[in-house]
Amino acid sequence: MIELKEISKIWKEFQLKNINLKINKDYCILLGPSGAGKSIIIKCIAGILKPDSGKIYFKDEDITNIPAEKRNFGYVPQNYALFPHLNVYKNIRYGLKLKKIGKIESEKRIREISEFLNIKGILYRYPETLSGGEKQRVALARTLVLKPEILLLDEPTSSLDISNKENIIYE
Amino acid sequence: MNKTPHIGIFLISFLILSVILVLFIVLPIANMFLNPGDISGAIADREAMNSVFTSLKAAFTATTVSLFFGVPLAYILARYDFKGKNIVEAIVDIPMAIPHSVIGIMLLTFIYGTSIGSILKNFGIVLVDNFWGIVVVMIYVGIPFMINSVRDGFFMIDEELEHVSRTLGASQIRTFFNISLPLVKNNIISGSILAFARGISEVGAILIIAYFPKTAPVLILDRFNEYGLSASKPIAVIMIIISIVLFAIFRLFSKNRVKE
Repeated sequence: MIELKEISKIWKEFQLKNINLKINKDYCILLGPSGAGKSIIIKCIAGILKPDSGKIYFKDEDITNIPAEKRNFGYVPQNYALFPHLNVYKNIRYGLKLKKIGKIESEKRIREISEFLNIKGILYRYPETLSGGEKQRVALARTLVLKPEILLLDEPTSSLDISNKENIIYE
Repeated sequence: MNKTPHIGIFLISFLILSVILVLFIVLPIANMFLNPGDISGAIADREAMNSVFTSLKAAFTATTVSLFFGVPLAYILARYDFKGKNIVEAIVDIPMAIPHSVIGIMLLTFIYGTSIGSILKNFGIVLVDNFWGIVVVMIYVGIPFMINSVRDGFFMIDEELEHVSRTLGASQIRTFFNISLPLVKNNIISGSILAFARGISEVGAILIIAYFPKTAPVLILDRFNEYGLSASKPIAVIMIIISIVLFAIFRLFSKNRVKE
């Protein structure tokens, strides 16, 4: 489904060189030591970073030059990156507004995802008041409401304790 | 071993130095308020009020222009690494280092000595002895404060917020206006206040570029030279009040930024 061919990228102090990767499964876990380049690979697939050389294919289509906003790939970074000036509801609604999803459909999607991820009770709170687990669920909700083609999670369990890690993986 | 006397001496000596400094700043201001001269006469003085109005209008215009040009450069300096970035950052700081009268000479030389001055004149834009000359000077001296304040703000924003915004469907421009700009609101405000305050207090360069229309600081200097302290004090008190109010607002927004 996703294929990286000879991807090279230098970004800040990190460097990828001639990476080849093919993912055909429902889910895939990239494992590697800190600084190996996992986040850069994820950012290249998401379209946040443009590779210096090489190609990225999705369903056999070359998406290398397609900007991030046009790829419909969900992305949740390690620190969740919830918009601090927006409450949980507006964070989740952000992408729906951009894609001009109608109000009724938006409300339905937000209702369904907040029930599924058990965040209904915190919709009008601000990110700074949320726990780590709540932040992660909100970040997931924000991207899942847009029904992305794929979901890219960068270090999804690194900042959680053991019991929360197990819960998140289970969910 | 009894440590208390050392801590006491340390704090006391710092306090003494601090009190001397605070008094150094506050006593001349307090004295002006206690002996302001003929304030009501200054308020009734058309030339004096026009000069205050000119200063405020020019500083406001200069700050708006600085905002328009300064925010994009601040964003670039915060987000991108490129060859010569250090040089650009040093260039931004230059107006803070150059003596004010030298800035005036420099800008005047540029206007008269290059074709840019004649091009502007052909378009009906006159800078020398003109309101727009005052604005140009205020932009030149104020813009480093705008750029540095806003750049520091952008620097503190997590880049991942912008990355996520892009993956949610926002273009770079939409991300800038929806996410980045709102989050540096306080830095924009404090940068604007600093640029405004720096511009409105400018004298040296304005005397050279645009003696007319007179700004308040230029008129104060004129009145002092022609008629002495009593003639210049009332307008000076009005300008002190304006400056104090501006900085009080700046401190208020700075405190809110720290709390966040």
